[in-house]
Amino acid sequence: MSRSQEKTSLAPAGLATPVPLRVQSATFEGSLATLFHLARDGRVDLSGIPLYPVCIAYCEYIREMPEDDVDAAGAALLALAYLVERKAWSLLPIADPPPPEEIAELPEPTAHEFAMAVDSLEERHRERSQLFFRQGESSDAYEVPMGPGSVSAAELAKAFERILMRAKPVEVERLAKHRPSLADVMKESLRRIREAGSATIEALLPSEFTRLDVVFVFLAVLELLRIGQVRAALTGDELSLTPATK
Amino acid sequence: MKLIDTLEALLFVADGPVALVDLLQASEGGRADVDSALEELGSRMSGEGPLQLVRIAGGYQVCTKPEFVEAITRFLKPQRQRLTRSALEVLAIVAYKQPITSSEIETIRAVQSDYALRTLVEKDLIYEVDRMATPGRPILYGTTDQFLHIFNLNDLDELPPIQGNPEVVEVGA
Repeated sequence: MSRSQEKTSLAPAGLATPVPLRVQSATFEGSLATLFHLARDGRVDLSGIPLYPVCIAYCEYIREMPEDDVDAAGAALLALAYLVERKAWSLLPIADPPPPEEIAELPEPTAHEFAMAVDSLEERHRERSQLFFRQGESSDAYEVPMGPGSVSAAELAKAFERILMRAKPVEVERLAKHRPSLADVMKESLRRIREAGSATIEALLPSEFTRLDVVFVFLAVLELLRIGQVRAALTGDELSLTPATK
Repeated sequence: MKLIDTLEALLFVADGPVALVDLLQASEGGRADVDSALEELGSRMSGEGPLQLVRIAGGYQVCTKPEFVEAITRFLKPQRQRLTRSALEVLAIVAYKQPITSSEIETIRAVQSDYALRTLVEKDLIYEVDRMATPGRPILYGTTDQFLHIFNLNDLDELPPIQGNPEVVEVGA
């Protein structure tokens, strides 16, 4: 290791040009500045260059350097630190790069391999259709209880369909009385008005009525008025309905 | 009571294939005797009469001879349900590759096969054998005894070998 009189300066990118130390090894010979630049550009293998002597030389330089040349000392320290770090990284074992992913081959249909088998099954099915086997008697009356998991969903669905086919549902009896439609109420109201010649809304209500009956009759009267089948006249507080004359 | 008659009676009342073990148990006969009686019964029935003894779906069963098919068809008017070619293809793949998942079938066919699989399950030709121990636990399908019966097979070993990749044949010298 030797020192030379190279001038220390700062590179435009902010990286310092190191102090004038000369590095001499089996694989590299040149200034510390050159080594720094080559290492920075990745053009030298630092693993073959011992940096320990360079550090010793740097320390000697520090001891002998003029007191006012702190910049040069700092630049050299930075360069050395950089080299040491790069060398440290280069010494770390690098995991083998992952193997390139195998190119996934598109699945090729191989169903043609089964063509003969399909033909054979068809032939066997045709032969089988010539044979008739004894049909089992219905076991409805003696259905064997089946364990959980022994019945597939399809079997359950078929069984349910069979039950529905056998089912004879009784006719549903309506609990509420049949309610006539609005058209029925309109017809009945118009018949009453025509028969009486004139009628009040109360007269159109059935003998026993609910609130819903009142609503239906009122709507029927409104509809009859709208389509011009009846006319309404107010006498005092009494509303009388008469058939419309053409 | 002759063993051969007992076996014939058992096979007459059975509404499905009867396994050998069940015949042994019901007839209380020895294995060799039952085998011999079944062989004799088979040859006797094939020689005369309208019925024959067949080995199907892993058991023995009595059925009509093919020459009576027309009369029986006129009498029973059976509703034949034919499987589509695609359903047959899926069925063949399941039969040869079982247990197999839906996605594996689709890889072989390169087309979606859900509908065919559903149809085959509904017709009781395939069933859910198990579930694969992979994420999603896909269903593994296998063939049923009904499949063997419908296709006149005693067991899966009777399936013909599937066609491999066609070999290149050199023409001419």
